[in-house]
Amino acid sequence: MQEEVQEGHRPGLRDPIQVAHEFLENYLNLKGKRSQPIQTLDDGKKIITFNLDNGKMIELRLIQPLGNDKRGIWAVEAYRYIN
Amino acid sequence: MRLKNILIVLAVLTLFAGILFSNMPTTIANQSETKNNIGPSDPWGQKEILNYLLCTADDKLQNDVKQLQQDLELTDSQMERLKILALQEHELIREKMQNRRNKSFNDEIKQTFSDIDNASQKILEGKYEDFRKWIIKWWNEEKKYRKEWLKRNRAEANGEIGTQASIDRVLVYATQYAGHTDYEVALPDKYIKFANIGWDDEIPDLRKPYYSNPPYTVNVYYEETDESVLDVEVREVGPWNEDDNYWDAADDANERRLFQDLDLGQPEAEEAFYNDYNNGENQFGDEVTNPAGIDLTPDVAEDLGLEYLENAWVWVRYSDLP
Repeated sequence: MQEEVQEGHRPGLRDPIQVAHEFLENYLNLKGKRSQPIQTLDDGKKIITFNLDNGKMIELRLIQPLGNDKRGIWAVEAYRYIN
Repeated sequence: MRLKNILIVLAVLTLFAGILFSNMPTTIANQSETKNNIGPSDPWGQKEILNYLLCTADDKLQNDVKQLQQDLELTDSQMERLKILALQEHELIREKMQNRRNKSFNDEIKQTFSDIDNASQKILEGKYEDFRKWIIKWWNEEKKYRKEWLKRNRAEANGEIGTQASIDRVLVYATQYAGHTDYEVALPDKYIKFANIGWDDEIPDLRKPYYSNPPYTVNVYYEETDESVLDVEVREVGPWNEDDNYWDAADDANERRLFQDLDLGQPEAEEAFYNDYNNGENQFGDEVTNPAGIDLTPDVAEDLGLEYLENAWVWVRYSDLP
């Protein structure tokens, strides 16, 4: 996907919010709304939390696998349901 | 006698420097000079120039390709191999990235162009130097031609619809991408994507009123084949930028968010590609390597009469957009 972005396609992959939404919808078949501000961890990873339409809450942890700057794409490293 | 020797040495050094600098335009090393607009600019090593020249469905460019073959007396086999190389630019980028993940994006692009340069030298053999000179001359003529061509065509289109705050249709360069669905387009306004997909909460309150009536669609017309596609949904953001709603004027209620000094209807990537606007980069600082203002999925492109991954100048009607 990084190479697609580099050729000008899908710059939204550089936006953790868009990547988180697309992961929810395309991989988990879930929909939801962000429930808290994005957290940035010391190592640059992002935590994004959603209130799902099914009443549950989910937390996604995102990383930049190919470089930590504004031009690197984001990917979901892990997710968990929370209370 | 000693003075004579010194003069001879100076003469030899001057001659050597003359030869060296006369070859400068044909080396990758001088790209920074050309970027500052000193002398004719050399796109080689900076833009997807092979892909642009050989893979764009455009009468003028197709004639240019014939002229290239004729001027340099290239064989059909050499032309075929150049075309394959032009199509493989994306593949080469992929291969390079696998081995150089820690380098910056722009460095990776430079490495890829260096590989393309090497492959071109092998294909062209003794014609390589002439090819590089031909490209410089062609590129500088192409830039002038394309500027006038776009100005003329866009003016005619605006004349048809009259003066208004926002533009109705624009001639833009189209590339192809793998979409979320088989049939969609991408435009460089992320809020259109958010509105169409239903991520309304991600649109700032100030902008929400303008993006409250999805789905937002476009009509695309390709003049060469007289084919159109209608009401194609915008499902993705790009190419190149996320906040370049170039169909909105700077003084529109929903104003163009970035690059307001550019002409209405002119994508930032186009000006970055041809004239090094914004240092030749997009809003994220990437080198812009093609002038695209819209991305089409291959199925949309096929309905317009384009081949797989073939680029083209197409008319896009934006009247249904915010």
